[in-house]
Amino acid sequence: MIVGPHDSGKSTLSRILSAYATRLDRTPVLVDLDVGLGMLSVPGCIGAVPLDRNCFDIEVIFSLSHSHFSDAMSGQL
Amino acid sequence: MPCQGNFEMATPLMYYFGHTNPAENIPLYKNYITNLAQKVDLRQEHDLNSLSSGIIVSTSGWIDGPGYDTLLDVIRLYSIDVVIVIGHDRLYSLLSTHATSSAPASSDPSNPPLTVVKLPKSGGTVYRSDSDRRRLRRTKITEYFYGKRSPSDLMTSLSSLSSATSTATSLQSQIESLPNRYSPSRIDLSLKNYNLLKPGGIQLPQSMMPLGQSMEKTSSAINELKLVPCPLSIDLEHAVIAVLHGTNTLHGVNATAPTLVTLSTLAESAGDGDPLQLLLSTNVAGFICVVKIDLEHDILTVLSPCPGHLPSTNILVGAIKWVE
Repeated sequence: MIVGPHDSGKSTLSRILSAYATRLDRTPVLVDLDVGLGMLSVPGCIGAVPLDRNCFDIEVIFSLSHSHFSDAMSGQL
Repeated sequence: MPCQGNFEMATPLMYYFGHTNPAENIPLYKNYITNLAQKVDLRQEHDLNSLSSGIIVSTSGWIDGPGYDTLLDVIRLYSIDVVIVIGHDRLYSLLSTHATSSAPASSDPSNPPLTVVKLPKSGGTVYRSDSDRRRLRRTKITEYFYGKRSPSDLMTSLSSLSSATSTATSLQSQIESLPNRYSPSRIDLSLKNYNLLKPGGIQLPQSMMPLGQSMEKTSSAINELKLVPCPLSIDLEHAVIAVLHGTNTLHGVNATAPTLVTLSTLAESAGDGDPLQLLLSTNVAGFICVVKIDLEHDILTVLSPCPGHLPSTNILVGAIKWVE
């Protein structure tokens, strides 16, 4: 878990750690509890996402493909 | 891998809190944290590789008072074993004291010993003012509906057009001139078919309470955790609201044709007597934004990421606003 005041680089560090982990063929779950400016979706949300190597794309700087009414059910990630 | 890197994600599991500050409704925030923790646990149980990979939790910058208590809750709920404290000595010493005092006697796997690591703040961090934050939030929501334009899109469009672009225009403005990646659609929602809900319980200031009573002593904590029907009003204009996964989708009923799920039928399907509690542990299917309100006919015109019916009839209202 990464804690610290605002603008201390928490999201950045969690992204770096996620990237290292996926490069080691791990599949961690990234949990973002920041409702102010979360990484995963629109502000005001908390969420979690399972990561694997395919989640990181060097080409695209930052794009979110968050659930456009996908049919994922509650209880699954 | 650039550290500003991107997640081309599978569907994330999201809960809509509806405020940009957890302190606005602490019981609700804790409720969602707890629910998320349970769901993450559930998923990890079924995926051995994921279980061994663990989880990475990024928190909000709220570290004082109740915020610190929330951090301790998160450590407990997510079975955290390593806490990285960035650039805050007092928080580090508080958490270190907590770690030594709460060290478990037995080697219980669900309650691992806590290691606290201190990291200096990177020199690359930039202070973001409130207006910066507002702008970033706005951009985030725009990106949700219209998609993010990226340099790679520019490359594709340049190669397909093979037009000579003027070198005077900057990369940024060239990117901004690209067409949107997504096209959201406007749909009309007749409100008699939808449950428009909001977390209830108004936080009264101390001055408005009867003499000698405080919010803590009354049943406010229960009220804050209750979803109440949200009346249609002009306040809803530009509100970003979340469409929850309804029980109709949960049970595999055709999700594209939403049937009216009233709160009473929700209660029946839940099997317990509290349908509102069920919806509070329901995650978000997607977001819509109110563009027009017809108070006379109870019709809400919303911007939706995809055309057609909403996947569920349960809509959760928050305090987030977005103007196109």
